[in-house]
Amino acid sequence: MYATVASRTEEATVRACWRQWRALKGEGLVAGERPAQAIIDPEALVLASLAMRHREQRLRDVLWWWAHRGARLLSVQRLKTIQTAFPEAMLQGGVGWFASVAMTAGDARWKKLAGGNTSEETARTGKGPVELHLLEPSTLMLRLRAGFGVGAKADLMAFLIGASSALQQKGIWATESVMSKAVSYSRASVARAAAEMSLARFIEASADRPPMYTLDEDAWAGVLRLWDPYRPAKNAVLSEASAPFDIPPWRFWSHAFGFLVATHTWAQEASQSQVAPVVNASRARDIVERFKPYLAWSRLPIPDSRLHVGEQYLDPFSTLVDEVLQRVDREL
Amino acid sequence: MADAEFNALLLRRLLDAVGAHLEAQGLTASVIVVGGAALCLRGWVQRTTNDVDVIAVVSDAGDEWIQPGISAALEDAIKRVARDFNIDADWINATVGAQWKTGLPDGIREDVEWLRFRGLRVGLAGRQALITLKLIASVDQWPQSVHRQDLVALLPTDEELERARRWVETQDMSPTFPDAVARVITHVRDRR
Repeated sequence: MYATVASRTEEATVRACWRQWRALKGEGLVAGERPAQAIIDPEALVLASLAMRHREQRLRDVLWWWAHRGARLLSVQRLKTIQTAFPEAMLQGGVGWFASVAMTAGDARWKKLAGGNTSEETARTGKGPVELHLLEPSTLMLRLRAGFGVGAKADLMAFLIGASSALQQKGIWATESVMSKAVSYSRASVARAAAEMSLARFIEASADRPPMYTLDEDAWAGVLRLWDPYRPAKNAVLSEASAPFDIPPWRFWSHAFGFLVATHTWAQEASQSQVAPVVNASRARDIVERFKPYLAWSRLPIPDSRLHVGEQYLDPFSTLVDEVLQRVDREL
Repeated sequence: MADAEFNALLLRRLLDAVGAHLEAQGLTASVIVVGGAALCLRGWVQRTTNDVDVIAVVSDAGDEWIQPGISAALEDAIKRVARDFNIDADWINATVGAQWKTGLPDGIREDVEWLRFRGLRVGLAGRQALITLKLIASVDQWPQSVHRQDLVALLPTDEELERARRWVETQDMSPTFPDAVARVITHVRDRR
């Protein structure tokens, strides 16, 4: 069971990474399949790719390309925050390598993360476009950062636009707590950013204390021209009002990738050791506890630990992993 | 957390889980257990208990008993098992270790039965020590108390009760204490 889970989580993570990289590289339809459609979380994508880079040389190549072309659109602090959800055993100094490449490419912000033994890390250059073209709706978070600057405001905007699409319900109100966990900025930073955006009337605050926030996603979708880039050309001349918006959904990728990589590490260790099932079950519980908010927001079947004591927890955990894998494929 | 009651089967499962966590880290621990858990695991009483009383820990060399200060690794394993089995966090505790202040019962190091649960070794106190500790625990309890019932169930001989009495009477200097001890002994003898 463990070896199967290890291989399935690894494959799912790599597959998800590639569909997101294809969106960032502007590769368009491949064999009729669109690149990622959900909002790409760029720091999470970098970390997940770093965690899987030893499996595929090509991931190292695309990371090298991104460190040169896209690292300026990343938040160093946010990457550090999200990094804590990823097992260090999987990253193996990868963050230091990526930061070194980004610094060499001219972005001095990465200096504090650069370092480690990078001599063994090799990458082939020229594995992505020279210029970035953020054409896919899923690149919304990066577009907002390019437009408004890298920081909590751009990310909050991406979250609020994508949350309604994810829940297929317009006008979703979000608390500061949920926004903070979703975008991985501190609650104080999120509260400050949201209050200022509300002052600017970009978003709307409720009368609650602390307030909740929402925005008019259709209005922003119009401003941001969020429609299907693959729709037939004859429809391209339709007025904006008649073109259906293609608002990319928010999918909590920093948590989803963290869960996948943590579960992969767990399964790999379990398959290679002689540890008792009750210990593996306990470690599985640790993963579920760590990612509980993500699992709850995504309405995934969190096992009830009161009903599945000791090693009995392994069965419902396996069911949960199956569900996450299906969801990741379906909701990319 | 549920205020769970453990029978011998569940106790073994829980202790095995603690030992498995220690083993997974390449660690070992040895503890001396008294009270209801020791009686259940010995099979001397057929009842449940809600905790495991640790009166001493044993050094790695295996020959020195130490007043229980549960190690961080053992504490972590105990808490994990509590979480994983939905039981109280202090299901293994060293409260009875306070007995070290006034001394341990005579002969407590005799007749210890060792059980091995992967990385955890559990030493079950011997019959005389358990009788002695049950006698002192029964003195200020109602006749229906679990301690008194355990003492009766052990069917102690006069010699065992006398040996226990000699030590128990050293534990409280109040003038009424010997009479209280004698009443418990009479109660037990009457029900053998």
